Amino acid sequence: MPSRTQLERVEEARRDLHYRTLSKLDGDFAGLVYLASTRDYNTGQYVHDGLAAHFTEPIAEQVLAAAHQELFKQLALSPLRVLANEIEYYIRSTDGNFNEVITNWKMLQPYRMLAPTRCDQLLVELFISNIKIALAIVGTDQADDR
Amino acid sequence: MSQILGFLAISMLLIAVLFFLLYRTGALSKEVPGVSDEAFSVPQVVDDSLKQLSERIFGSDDWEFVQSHASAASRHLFLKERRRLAHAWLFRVQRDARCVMRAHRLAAANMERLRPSLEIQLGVGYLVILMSCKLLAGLISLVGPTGVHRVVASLTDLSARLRGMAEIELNVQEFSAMSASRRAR
Repeated sequence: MPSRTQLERVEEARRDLHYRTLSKLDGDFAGLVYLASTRDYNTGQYVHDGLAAHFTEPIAEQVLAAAHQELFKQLALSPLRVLANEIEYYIRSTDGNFNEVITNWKMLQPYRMLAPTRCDQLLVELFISNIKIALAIVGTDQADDR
Repeated sequence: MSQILGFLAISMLLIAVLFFLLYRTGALSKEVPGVSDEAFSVPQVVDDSLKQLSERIFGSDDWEFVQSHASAASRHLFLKERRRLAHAWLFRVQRDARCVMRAHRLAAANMERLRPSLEIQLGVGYLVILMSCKLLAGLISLVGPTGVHRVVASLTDLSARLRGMAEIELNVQEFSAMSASRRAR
């Protein structure tokens, strides 16, 4: 069982991740992309040098994995309207051409890498399905605007 | 056309039976001596996950958004995707019910004394879940996921109740075994 000090350190690391990094990103979808990118796709382990240096590697990994799971669940279960807005906001915040990004996302489906390693499979399916629909809606809106 | 009407009539009848059995199951559950209503609750993780997913998959707010903001192609994509997810959700409910019954059968093999009323409730609940899933699968194909939202909510509750009843039976038996071993000492 983790000691009280250990739990306090984990909580401190969680707050550190939230205030120093996640709160400075443009929206929840950007946060999800960031958290997924801290995972090594070969080992499935989360790596964050800053957190690991301040705390420990196991604490950094635990906090990143928990934050990833939480944010993923929140976005996967959010209304389609919210998800569509998040995706549009995220794509507009990137440097790429809006339509090109949409086309590439539809073709390459990079959003499949955003799901946490240990996650309810049906929740993952819902998330992927909602992103497909959101991309169709956002892409159509953009075409209509032109 | 007459076939569809016949199918709908059978569906309505089965739904009525489902609600009747749900009511009966709920009423009977309270007859287990020494067990409070709270004890029939299901582990929060399982319950929440199925319920939250059902609210998103079968709820109408996403469909309303799509109807007002999306093209015909996007609406078609939405309906296709939600039907697929709805069937996956039904598959999950059936799988969970089978797991609960399998675990209960394994546990029951080692129980000294079974409660016939609870065994009947479990059996009826299990059959109602399986029948409802088959029925819902047909209805989803006909009217889409949003048209069956209320039945799905009842099915989620029944699924949770089935798991709760199986757990209660297990806990009561464990408690009895513990008491018996204490008395023996």
